Amino acid sequence: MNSLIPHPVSPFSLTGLTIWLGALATLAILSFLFRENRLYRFAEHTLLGLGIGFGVATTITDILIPKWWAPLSEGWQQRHWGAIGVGLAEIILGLALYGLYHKKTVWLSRAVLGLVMGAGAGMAFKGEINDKLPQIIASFKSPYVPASQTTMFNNTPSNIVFIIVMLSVLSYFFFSADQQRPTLRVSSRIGRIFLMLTFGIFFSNAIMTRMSVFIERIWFLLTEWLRIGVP
Amino acid sequence: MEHASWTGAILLTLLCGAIGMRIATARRGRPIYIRRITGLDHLDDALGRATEMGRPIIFSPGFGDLGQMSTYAGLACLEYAIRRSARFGLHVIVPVAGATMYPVTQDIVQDAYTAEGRPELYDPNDVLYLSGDQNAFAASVSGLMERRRVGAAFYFGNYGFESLLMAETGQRVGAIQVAATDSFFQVPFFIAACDYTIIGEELYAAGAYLSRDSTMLGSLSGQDFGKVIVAALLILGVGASLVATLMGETGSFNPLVGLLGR
Repeated sequence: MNSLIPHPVSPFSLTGLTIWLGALATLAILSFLFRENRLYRFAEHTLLGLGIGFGVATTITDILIPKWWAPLSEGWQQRHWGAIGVGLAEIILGLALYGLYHKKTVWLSRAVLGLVMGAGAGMAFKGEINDKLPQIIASFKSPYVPASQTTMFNNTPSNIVFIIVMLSVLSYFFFSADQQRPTLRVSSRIGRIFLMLTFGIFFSNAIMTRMSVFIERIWFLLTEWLRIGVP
Repeated sequence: MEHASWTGAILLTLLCGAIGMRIATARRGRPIYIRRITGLDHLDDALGRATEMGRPIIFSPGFGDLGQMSTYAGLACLEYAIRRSARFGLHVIVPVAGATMYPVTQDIVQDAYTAEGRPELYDPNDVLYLSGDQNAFAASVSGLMERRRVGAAFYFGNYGFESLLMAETGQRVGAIQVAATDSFFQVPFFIAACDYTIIGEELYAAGAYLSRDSTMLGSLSGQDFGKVIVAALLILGVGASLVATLMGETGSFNPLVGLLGR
């Protein structure tokens, strides 16, 4: 019975201190549910600081050192001018971004930003067809499947539903066609209904996941921090 | 390195050709029809309401980076929102999550104010680089919304689980909210917490819809042509599958599969 009375873990050990910090941070963040307050603000800024610090550290250890410094220094030792040139170009382009902070050098940063945006858009565009083509091919489902070939995922009713959903949802996303035309209007309306059904399913799934995350936090507070039910 | 199959290359060429042609048509001044997107029609209402309340607005171009199309779509809408806000003299807070996004966003915001003839409204401190960590980003945006009592909140771009955390806070402070995302799993949360939600690909149409820029309108119309090609392929493929099944072919025999798979 005594184990039901809270007897928090001692903070005077590394594990205990970690648990206390975790519990206080959880309570600070949860206090936002009541209202924005200083405790929440402290937790928020600590989280921000940690996020930035972690980001800087991982940029150095995962990007700058292995992808820039290591090839550059190796190229320097082996007098590999190509690697040296690439390394130097990278650092010059990177530093040019800081040109943003001075009126006379702002053009430098714009040139680099143009390069970054162009590369980003190009990379996003690159995979578009190659990613989508297999999906298109996988969508060629027969609306009739003989009993001998029927499986759980390949059967007549589900293939018919699949085809209707696919085409009606696609029609919903036609922007330059007049949706008041009877065929398109009906089809896009059906598409919208299916979309909403899908969103409902996603919503309930995600809520269940988040509830389990919340329960895990409460469980942590009760059993690991307050040690309720723990002898 | 990934290379397109020849059928992929043909499809890509067709799509690019259609987009290019429609852009050229639009630039020649031929009107291009775009269907109504309700959520976008209410963007100005939200700005007007924030002006009446005398509160700032928050515009988040998403959690994505410059490698995602939705980020570009979000940034196009950001430019529109800033230009409209400049007319009302509204303060716009723009939190960003990516380090590379930060200078791009700063540039867009500054240019938009300048284009409206209100460069004095640009405050570099309103564009905030918060964090690349989702939890920290969500906590910080939520805190900002509460502290600054925003009158309107716009979420245009790519989002993860932070979508509901932010939108729920916006709801709590009484902000009128419009969201647009292609992150399919986050759309339901925005539908639940926001006043207007723009679904999936409507986000890509948003930039063209808002700005009525002929190039963007032409591009959108060209993309629709691409969808017609895909729809035709799907119908042909389904038909071919049915014929193959009726002919008693087993497995996935379908001439179109063989053709597209090359």
